[in-house]
Amino acid sequence: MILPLPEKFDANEIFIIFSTIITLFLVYKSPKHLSAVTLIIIWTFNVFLALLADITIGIKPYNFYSTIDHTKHELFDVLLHFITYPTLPYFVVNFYQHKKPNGIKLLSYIIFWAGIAISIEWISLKFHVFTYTGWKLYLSFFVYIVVFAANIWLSNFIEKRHPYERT
Amino acid sequence: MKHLWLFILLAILSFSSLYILMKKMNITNVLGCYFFSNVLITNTGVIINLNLKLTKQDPTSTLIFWTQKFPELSLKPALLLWLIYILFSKRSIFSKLILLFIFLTALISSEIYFVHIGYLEWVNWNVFYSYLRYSLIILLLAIYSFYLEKLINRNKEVNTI
Repeated sequence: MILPLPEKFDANEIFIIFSTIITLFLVYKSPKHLSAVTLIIIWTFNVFLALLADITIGIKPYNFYSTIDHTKHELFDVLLHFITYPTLPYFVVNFYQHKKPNGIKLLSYIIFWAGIAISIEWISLKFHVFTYTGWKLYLSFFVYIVVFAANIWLSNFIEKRHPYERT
Repeated sequence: MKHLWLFILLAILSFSSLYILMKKMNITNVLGCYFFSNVLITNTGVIINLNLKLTKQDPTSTLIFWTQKFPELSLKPALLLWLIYILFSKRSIFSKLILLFIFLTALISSEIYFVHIGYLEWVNWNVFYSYLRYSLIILLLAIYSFYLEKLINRNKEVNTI
């Protein structure tokens, strides 16, 4: 099968569906501070990063963790990569562009969101969305700091060229 | 190990060529297309290799893994991006078709090379399927690039008004 369905429809699939619906609802409801161009670039960038991580350290020869039920790339993996993962960096960038903190405030802002991200990751571990086979939660914290910093840099780069216009 | 060095060298050349492309194409479009081409290459690659098991490779070798990973992140996206640039340029349809075939062949050549050196095994896979795979990737990437460019231009118009 091109994209296999879950072996068992259990807690992890339900968690993915619920978290996807909730985050999409929040994306829809939250005030927008990004241009459409920035939104698309940021979204694509995060799909790219999610896939890069999962298909580099999440598979053999490294196999530091696995997602959902098995080692195959299943339908719910696609949902995770394309919809669930990019929503959090979207919020990070969206609210950053509104207040534009800098210096120590920016560092605190990134650490705050990295804290939220590992909290969500900890919950998803309980629901077996991820199974660590060598990876550690604290490593994710450092990864999120780098990822969110890269997202903020990229959003500034794009917004400078294609700024958000208030209507 | 020499194969890995060859692809590291090609990666440097690819990224240098992308720098040149950024001066010819809209930089935002180049970035978006680079990310999206990676998404397409990885997704189709994983489906073919992990899910459908049409190709096989030694899963324990880090050398094989990285030798294939480097062109996936550099050479292949660079070729695809240059092809997108050519397809949206003011060349004749005939020259575009010839260049399309040349670039597709170049993309597939790297895979044939991996098969030749024993880093990849084609179980139920062949060159024709590879042409189909990359044609699909180019089609999806062209659609993405077209609409992103449209959005960029609309954004520019709004800002000038």
